[in-house]
Amino acid sequence: MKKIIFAAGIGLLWVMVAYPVLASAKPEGIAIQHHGRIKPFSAFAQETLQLISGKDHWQGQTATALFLTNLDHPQRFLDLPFIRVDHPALRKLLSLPLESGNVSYQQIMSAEETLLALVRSAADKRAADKRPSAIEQQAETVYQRVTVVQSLFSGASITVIPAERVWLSPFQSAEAPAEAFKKLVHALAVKAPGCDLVVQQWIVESHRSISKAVQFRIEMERIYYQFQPFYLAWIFYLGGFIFLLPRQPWVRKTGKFLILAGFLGHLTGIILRWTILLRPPVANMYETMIFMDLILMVTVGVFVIVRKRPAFLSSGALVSALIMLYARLLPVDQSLDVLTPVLRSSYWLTVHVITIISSYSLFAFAMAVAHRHLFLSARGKPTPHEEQISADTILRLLQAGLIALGAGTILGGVWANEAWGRFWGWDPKETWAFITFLGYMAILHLRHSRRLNDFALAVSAIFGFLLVVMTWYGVNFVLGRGLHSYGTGSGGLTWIIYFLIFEAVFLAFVFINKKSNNKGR
Amino acid sequence: MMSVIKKLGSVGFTVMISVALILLLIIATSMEAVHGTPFAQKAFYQTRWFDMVVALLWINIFCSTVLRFPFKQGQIGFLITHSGILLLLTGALMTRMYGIEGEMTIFEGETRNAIKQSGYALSATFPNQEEVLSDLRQGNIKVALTRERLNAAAPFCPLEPKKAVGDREHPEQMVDVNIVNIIEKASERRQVIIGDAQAPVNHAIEVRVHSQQLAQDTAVWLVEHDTQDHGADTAMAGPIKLMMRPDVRPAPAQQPILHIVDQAGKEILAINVSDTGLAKSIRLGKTGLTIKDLEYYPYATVSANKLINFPEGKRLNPAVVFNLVDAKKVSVRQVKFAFFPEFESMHPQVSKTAARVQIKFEAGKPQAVEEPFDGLQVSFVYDQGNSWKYRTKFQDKFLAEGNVVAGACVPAGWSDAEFCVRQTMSRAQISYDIAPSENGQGGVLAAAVTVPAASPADVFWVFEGRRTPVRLAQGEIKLSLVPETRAMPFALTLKQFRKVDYPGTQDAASYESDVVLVDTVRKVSLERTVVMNHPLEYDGYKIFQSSYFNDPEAGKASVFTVSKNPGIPWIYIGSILACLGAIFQFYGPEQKKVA
Repeated sequence: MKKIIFAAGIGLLWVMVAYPVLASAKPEGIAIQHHGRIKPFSAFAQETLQLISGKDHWQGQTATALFLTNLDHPQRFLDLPFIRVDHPALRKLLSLPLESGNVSYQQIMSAEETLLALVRSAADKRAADKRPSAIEQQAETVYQRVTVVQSLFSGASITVIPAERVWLSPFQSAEAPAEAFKKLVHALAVKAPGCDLVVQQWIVESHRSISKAVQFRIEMERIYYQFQPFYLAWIFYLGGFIFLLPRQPWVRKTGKFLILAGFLGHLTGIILRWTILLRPPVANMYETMIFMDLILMVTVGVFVIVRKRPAFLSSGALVSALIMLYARLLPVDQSLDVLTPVLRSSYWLTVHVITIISSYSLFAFAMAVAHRHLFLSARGKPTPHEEQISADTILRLLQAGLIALGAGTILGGVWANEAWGRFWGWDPKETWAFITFLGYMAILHLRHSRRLNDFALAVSAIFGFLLVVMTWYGVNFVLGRGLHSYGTGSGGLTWIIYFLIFEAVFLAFVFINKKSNNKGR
Repeated sequence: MMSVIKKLGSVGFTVMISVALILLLIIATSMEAVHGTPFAQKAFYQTRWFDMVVALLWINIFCSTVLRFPFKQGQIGFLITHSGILLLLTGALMTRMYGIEGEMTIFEGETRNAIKQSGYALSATFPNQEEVLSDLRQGNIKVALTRERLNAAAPFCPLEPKKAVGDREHPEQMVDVNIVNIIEKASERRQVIIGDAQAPVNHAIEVRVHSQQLAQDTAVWLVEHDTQDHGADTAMAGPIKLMMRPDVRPAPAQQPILHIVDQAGKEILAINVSDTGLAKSIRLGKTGLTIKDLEYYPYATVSANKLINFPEGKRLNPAVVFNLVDAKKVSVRQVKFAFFPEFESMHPQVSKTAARVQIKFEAGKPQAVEEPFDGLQVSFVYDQGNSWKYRTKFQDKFLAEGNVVAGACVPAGWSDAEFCVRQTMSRAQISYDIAPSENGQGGVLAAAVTVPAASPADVFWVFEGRRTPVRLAQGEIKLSLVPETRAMPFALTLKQFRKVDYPGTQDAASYESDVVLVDTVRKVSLERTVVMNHPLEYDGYKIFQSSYFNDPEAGKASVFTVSKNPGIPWIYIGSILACLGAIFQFYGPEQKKVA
């Protein structure tokens, strides 16, 4: 009975969240061709606004509203101060106001030549296999933003009129639907009565030339963007962790409830992405982080429910929330994109990535349990039995992780052999995967030959995870070279440094407290 | 002996080797990030000593396995895992020793039957166009001069009976070619030295440009005359242009003038619009037309559909706006851009009245002594002697000016760029020598060879992609370096290459090549499409689509990677064993005992 109420509660919660989303059939659902895919206007608008300004909303307006209303007078895009320019030195060079804040197209284009000089110099360096300076890379990003704004102004990117292969923009076509769309835009801009009907009519008209399957995916994507499942999930995981801190049973129950709700949202998000893209969502940095997080939560579930170790639920939820948070903080592309040729239609690639991220999730969970173990032992709390359970769990996770990492790395070789005839080539990503493998292998050998006690095992689990961070993030973002460049980007290093500082402080705290504890005994 | 095996097979040694490998690989990947992939491959992964380090790992695992002999029941998992890893490493070794990998670049319609490998060969081309390849790794190469090879006209239907060149005077003989030096990325390096008082006047300046923000730190020579390089007076340092020029006074800038011409082509009036004291209305002679409310925008730009003056933009774009009023007081608004006279035809606003006169607006472009350049430009101006001035500008705006002091550094006034003049010369002498290119960027493979039989018996530099003539008593041979090739047991013809895009984008969704593979020995002919991720397999070889060219002149070409990987079965079996063994070890019955 209790379980039924529990399940019903969670179901009700999701209906409450999802209802307003599902009930609306608004301009968000207008179909548009963007980056080689047919998607809802809201997805296009959010991705584009995110690219231009790094934000989901603009001065209280949703991205969809912002774009559609301004399309009535497209030259307004040139004066909207919504382009993000980060680098202070670049702002100075472009003679932009030095205090932070986004700027307009016009402001940037008054220094167009400077921007172009930097972009060209960056291109020259790339052609010579050199790395452009930070300011040049930032100039490239700003230039990309500027071109996107230009395509909004010219209407070139508003390809909403269905056609055989390449959809047309109403602003660059003289066909009948063009006028209809311009009227729609005008009606929305002046909030004309009955504009809902105009939108409805447009959607019905344009959907005629789209297959039912694509219509379904457009609808799914609209829901995905409005409902932000991963955002909700991370809040719920964090909330769950906080509620699990106190000892009162009802508070703890709420915590469990929140974590389960978060997990369901997380799962829904993954399923939505999978449905929309018709492939497992494991093709870029963001997708792998989110997917790895899901596997992490499943692992936590196995340990909590099957192996009856409820104490690890809160550690798992916290790490899970933090990984989700990092997926948002790091400058990784969250948009739903089509794949480059080398990543397409490859069974081995999918298996390879899923195996590798499973190992990362096991190592991440081991690291979480290690933190809990070290924290408790620093405060002198754990009973020998508890200590043994922690150490055993860490060992089990590391063992499973090592197998998954080894198998995943080999599967990567199998894929490489299938895709370009080379099993292993000491590419930086391969090399770092091997380094990580050696690291964990050394830990397990030392443990097996009884040279690592429980405390040292926990510390090694944390150090091992630093290798994972380097392999996963560092190779692409710090070293920035190699074949696995589809995950490449730059920036976000600050957040990783915060993580390293936290670990350093944490370990210092543990060592100092352990010493004083030992003296006390 | 046993104690050595015990040491080599111990867990301590495993950990030691792992840690050593970890540190080594961290260094290697860091170096790769700085110096590039080819460097890391050459300095680490492809070296013998790196093979040795991996071999140590093999020995460690092997010894630890041997030490457990005879195996007890509880060691099955251990045995399977570790022998799996040994197999895997053995397979890797076999691939390293016997693997074949190379590239085949085929244009549409072409057929190839050899792959290009990473090594190089010395090519000697004889007068009859015959080419002989020799292994470059040998120090001494003997080239056989036969009568046929020396006969330039031989292959083409000889009209007269063959005249044997050198059959009596120069009997068939071997010519020695000694490889003295090989430079992998060689470039011609310019040497600039101070000439004496008799040397011709030739100004030169050495400048170092430095900018942290732009990640630039480059030293360049600018030279007035260089017979091998006509653009030696200009150089680029990243986005910064450096140039030198003689001291010539610029001509004064032209005033902005509005010319009014009647239908006969006679000029009625010329108005200097930069004159601040212009009347509010100007009558245009006897045409009955009046110009009113004339406004002059030297830095015109369009913002929100309105023309405004925007000097902050620093882009000179002279424009005038005025109302043209006829006798009936009909007013037409006119906009004229000095640099865009065609603007009018794009925005036709000409009324019948206005058609009676032609109005042209002319303004001088900024007097460009230097070629227009949008970035930062640093010019060095020299006089007859050796006194120099510098001038930096960004687009049209001058930033800094002054006298050049050798050894001093001056900020350029843009970004954090600064330049330092190292030395100046008025009578520079230029010479060239072959040396490794700077920072290992660019350059071609070059080999220095001596040919004792040549006249003169000098050191010859031989390059990739360029033929060096060597004159012998018997005739001339041409030497060059060419990539090593390896014949394949099949011939591949590219019928068509396609790049398939995602709809509505230029982004590739797939690269596809229609090919025909023919093996004349086995009498096999296959027609297939090679797609990324879907290679063509034949006789142990795999043919992959790895890249493509689309040259407007030469046409489309596919780059295929052809590889044969004999270690693969070993690697796969080893991997499966290692994984199964590890699972058995961690989750099998043995684990319970350990726990």
